Amino acid sequence: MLRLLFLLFMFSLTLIRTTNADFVFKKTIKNNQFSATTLDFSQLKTSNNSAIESLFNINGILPGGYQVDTLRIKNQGGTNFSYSITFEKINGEDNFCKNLEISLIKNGQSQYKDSLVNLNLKSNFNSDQNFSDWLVYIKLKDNYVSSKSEFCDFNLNITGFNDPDQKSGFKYKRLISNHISSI
Amino acid sequence: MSKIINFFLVSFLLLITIFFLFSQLDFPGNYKILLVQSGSMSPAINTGDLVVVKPISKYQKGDIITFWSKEKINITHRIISIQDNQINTKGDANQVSDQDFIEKNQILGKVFYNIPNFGYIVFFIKSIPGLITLIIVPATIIIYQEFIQIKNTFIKMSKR
Repeated sequence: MLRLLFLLFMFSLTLIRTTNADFVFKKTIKNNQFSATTLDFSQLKTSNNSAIESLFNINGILPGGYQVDTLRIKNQGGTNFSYSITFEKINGEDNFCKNLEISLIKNGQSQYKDSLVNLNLKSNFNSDQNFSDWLVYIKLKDNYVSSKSEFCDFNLNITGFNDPDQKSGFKYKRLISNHISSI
Repeated sequence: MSKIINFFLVSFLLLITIFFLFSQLDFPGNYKILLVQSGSMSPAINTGDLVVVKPISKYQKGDIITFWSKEKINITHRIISIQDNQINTKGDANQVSDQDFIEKNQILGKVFYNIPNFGYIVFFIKSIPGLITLIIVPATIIIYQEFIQIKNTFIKMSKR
């Protein structure tokens, strides 16, 4: 009876489901040793490491007008990962969004300089650092013409992947909201 | 004396087995036992802990809850604010709050109890070596012993 109950108890343990204290994880079970590591990151101000929810909030931008801001992406987990930075339109006029250009500079080197709506940039942390500092430059094209006020609300989506090719495995996304409007 | 110990052991195993099996049933209001796989709720909840989660009618700031994220991942974090049915959560060990707000219908329940480190046993049992040493081998031995016992009984009956 006791042996059967012990077996049933062991079986019941195999049915237990899991929860993550973090969003993404990787686990290794090897030689009866368990280890877990997390994939977690945050977007921070470069000046004081406080969290950033929103980056650009520009009202009345003129053709040729631009603004520069900085962003720190910090690895807070226990594993290295690659990440992507992509554009996601939330609201506003398509034409206005298409006329915005973004430039992303990491470690003094330009990584992307093109239309905002086409932004899809893959990057990694330097091997000796657990953070990346970005200079983000956004500009309304010089030749933009419009007779009415337009706006573009968008997110910069930062997605971390534990797969270096960013095709499979676990991922974790954070969003930075932005608002830009013309006169 | 050994009979009393045996009785208590059987009763204890029976109770916790029923408790664990019952937690796997999906019906409204049922508690859940979940294995924590990562450490952003540390030090309140650590990797390898088991948590007992139960739905309640009203959640408040400070409660540790388990919820389904939009990515359909099961998350255990603490409520840091509730506004207009929008709940913001954060891992105690994380520097920033979770990006996505959640709604009440995403919540599995509140964490009522934490069993430290018991999850490592569960991890081991779920691994191939664990399955072999703690389930397959003992089950084979028990089946073999039962088979021998039945065989001996038949031999005795046929001799009579």
